Amino acid sequence: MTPTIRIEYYGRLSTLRGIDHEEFPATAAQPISRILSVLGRQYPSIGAHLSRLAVAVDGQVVGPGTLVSPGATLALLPPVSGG
Amino acid sequence: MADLVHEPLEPLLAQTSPGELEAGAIVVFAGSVRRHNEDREVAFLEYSAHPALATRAMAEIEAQILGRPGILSCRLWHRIGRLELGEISVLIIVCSVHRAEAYAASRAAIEAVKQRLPIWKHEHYTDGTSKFVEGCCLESP
Repeated sequence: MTPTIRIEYYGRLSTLRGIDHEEFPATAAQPISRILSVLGRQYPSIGAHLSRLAVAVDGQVVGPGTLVSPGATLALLPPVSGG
Repeated sequence: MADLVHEPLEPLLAQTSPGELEAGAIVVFAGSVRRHNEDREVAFLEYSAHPALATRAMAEIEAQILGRPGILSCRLWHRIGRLELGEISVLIIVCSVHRAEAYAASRAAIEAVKQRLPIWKHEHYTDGTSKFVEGCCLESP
């Protein structure tokens, strides 16, 4: 079975993508910026929104340069609007 | 303890007494679903969240508010799921020795909610269209 990173979509990203999560093939750790670049090319509907978001790996908000390992969960968090 | 809940928050309004005998003020802030936003007529709202991150951020906000001088207690709730017009989406109850601290703390708490909780508001309009409300980016390390 190919190792993967679980991608979770929140807010408008989930609506635009039409799903709330998917598996991203990854045989080695890779930077979030690269993952976002690939997702943006594969799915133009969300591409414009990937430049303005926060990201969390396994429940911790991290910077875009963070490496994500196979088996981890990467949550894509667009601008928030609670309250 | 902060809560992210699906159930209506209105019943909590009847339980605002903190049971804190040093308290001289209780400030209750309730955010509710209004009919119009930016000249559009709202039919209903849907709130979604990253539950683990939101619950942790709410607890952090409560703790920070509780650390302010004169604050005796702070409780915070936020609803998720579908909300109808007039329903309460967020509820903040702050208890303090004097009123000035409670008003200021309540204001600080709702501003923190808007900036720091991974929660998303999806507005559905009476014309059948919908839009996610533009918000602010969570701070990254």
